[in-house]
Amino acid sequence: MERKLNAELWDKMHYLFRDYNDRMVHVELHYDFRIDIDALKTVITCFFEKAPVLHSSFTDNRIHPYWTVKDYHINDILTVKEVSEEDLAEEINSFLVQYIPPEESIQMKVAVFYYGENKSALCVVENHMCMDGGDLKYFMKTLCKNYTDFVQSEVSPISLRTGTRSYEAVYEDFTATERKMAKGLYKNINTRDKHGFPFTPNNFIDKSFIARRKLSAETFDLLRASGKKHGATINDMLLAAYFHSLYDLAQFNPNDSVSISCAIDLRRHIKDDAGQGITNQTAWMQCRIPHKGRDIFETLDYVVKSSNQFKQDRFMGLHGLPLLSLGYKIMPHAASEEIIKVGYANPLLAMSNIGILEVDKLALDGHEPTDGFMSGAVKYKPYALLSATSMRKELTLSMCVRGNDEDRRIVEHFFDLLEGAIKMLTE
Amino acid sequence: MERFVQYINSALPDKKGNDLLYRFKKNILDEMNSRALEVTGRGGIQSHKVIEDLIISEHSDLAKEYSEFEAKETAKIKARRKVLGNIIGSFAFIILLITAFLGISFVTHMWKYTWIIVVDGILLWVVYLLGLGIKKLVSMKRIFHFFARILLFGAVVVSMVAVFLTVVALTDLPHSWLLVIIGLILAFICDGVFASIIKARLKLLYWLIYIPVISVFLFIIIGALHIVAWGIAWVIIPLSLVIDLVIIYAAIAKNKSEKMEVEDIWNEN
Repeated sequence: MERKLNAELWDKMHYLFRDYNDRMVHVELHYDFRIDIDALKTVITCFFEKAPVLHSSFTDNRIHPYWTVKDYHINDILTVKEVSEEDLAEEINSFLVQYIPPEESIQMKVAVFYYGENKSALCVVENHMCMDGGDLKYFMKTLCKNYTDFVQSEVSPISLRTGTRSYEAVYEDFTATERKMAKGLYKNINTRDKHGFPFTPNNFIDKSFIARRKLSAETFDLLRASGKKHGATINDMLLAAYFHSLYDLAQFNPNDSVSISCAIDLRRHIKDDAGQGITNQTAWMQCRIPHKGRDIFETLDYVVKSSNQFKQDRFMGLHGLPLLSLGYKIMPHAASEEIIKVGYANPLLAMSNIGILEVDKLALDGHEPTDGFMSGAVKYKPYALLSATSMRKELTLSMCVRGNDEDRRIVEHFFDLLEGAIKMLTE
Repeated sequence: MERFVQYINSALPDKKGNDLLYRFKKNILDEMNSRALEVTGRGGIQSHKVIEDLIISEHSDLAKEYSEFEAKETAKIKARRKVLGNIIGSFAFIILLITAFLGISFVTHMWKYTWIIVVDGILLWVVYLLGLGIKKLVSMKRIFHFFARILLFGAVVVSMVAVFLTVVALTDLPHSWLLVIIGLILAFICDGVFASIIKARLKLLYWLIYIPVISVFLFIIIGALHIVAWGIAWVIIPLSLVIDLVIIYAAIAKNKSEKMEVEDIWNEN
């Protein structure tokens, strides 16, 4: 008999996002040794068995969508290739920008590229409907630890967290009063903003690409020190630079109020993650500035003010969740999608600070990654998402876009402006 | 397979004559073996130990699984007995009812009154069946609670119709039709209380709707019985709206104080 899994609220929401992005989350990690493929196959198979949603096919049932657990072979998931150093970037790029349809039997693909003298690149692409960046980071860290324990001590690689994938986990650690209040937050917090990234118009020949820019560890230190002086976090600093560069790039009227949505990890509300399966627990906060600051520091002040407003809220990120849940509960799926689309405004500008990629936790058999980054989905124009990760204090900013060469040039120019703005912030 | 057998036996030692335990252990072993074949077919794991560890980890609490299996099997037997009991009981009740009706009618020759035995008996039987339905629906998912409420509403109305028919058959009480109105009032009250007990969403909203509806029914009863003149009794309707406003105000005030309490704790932290 076929085994079916419930499509959770966030699975359905990310499915709804099919009009805005390709829903793929990307990871790239480089190691200076040859990864043991047999060991990796063992770990991946165990993890897929532990998290059946990763080998399930999504059915867009008009009444009640669901996942059906499917059979698979490890070769459907893992690709292993020997490549020359010249071809490496191209190979990695073409692997990372692939799209896995939700109807496929597997929802995650892994590749190992061997290059140079005993070097390996580990790349992962997965469907955002299964898990978000927060859990993918946990997944990668657990994968690395299990790989190491298996290779070094023959410990079976089965210690992946399993359990509920429900969005309601965010309420579990609340008191009864808090839970009642949080579940009564029916307000639609979406406000539309027409300010977008200045991409070229959509074209059917557009292709997905990942543009990235790396900032040195020194810049990271300076950014943090400067942020401390202004009472701002790294996220605030990046956001201020994003705003400032965008006003210049898109030639917005400096008096216009612009908003950028920032991803919030809702796991901040979950004290104990035991019994939680891999899932999505991400919401958005809309950071708005009234106008462009006279200098970047004034812009930063607006950003800090705006993000502090969210941080002071006990229920940060939980507004609107009950409304979404109600929408999906009281109507058949097809109808609820249409209604939610009317009330939901997908942000044109967004940022996701995925955070630190801890090299000690991403070490495979004692080999720490030499380089790497993670990024969110490939956005369809006019939507734009800036992802940020750091490794050994080196900051990687990335944008995944389905566009053309001109769009790539625009994004590269945006990165130049962003670097300039960050420099101003650190001076 | 040997490790699976060892694991199952260590978690659930054999008990002589316990057929249920034997069936459970056999099912689990079959399941584990078929999972082992399935996982081997994935082509990713070469080590038997890893496959065994993986499958054993999927059954980390066998004692709990067994108690769930036991509860399910016991519930199945109980449910079968209950259905059988209800079918036999219903037949017995109807035969008893007809026997009582015919017996009393032939002895007393009061046919114009005795029909109530059959009609009320059938209505009470319907109420009993509705009660079974309510119990079943309440034990199901939240979405089915709404149907339980509809059945409860029906059960209260049917009960009051039975009372009304009894009064009509046995007495000449004037305004006996008011019993049906009282039945409707009771049905709304029961539904409101039931919605509160099962913590239905928007339970307050139901009360806000039911209170004015009940007030209209009360107005009819009070007027019909001449307790208060019609010209004065209508005040009860706007009064119900005032009660609604008081409830809304109290709910808002309660929410506000809870919000402040949460904010205070949050700010302290």
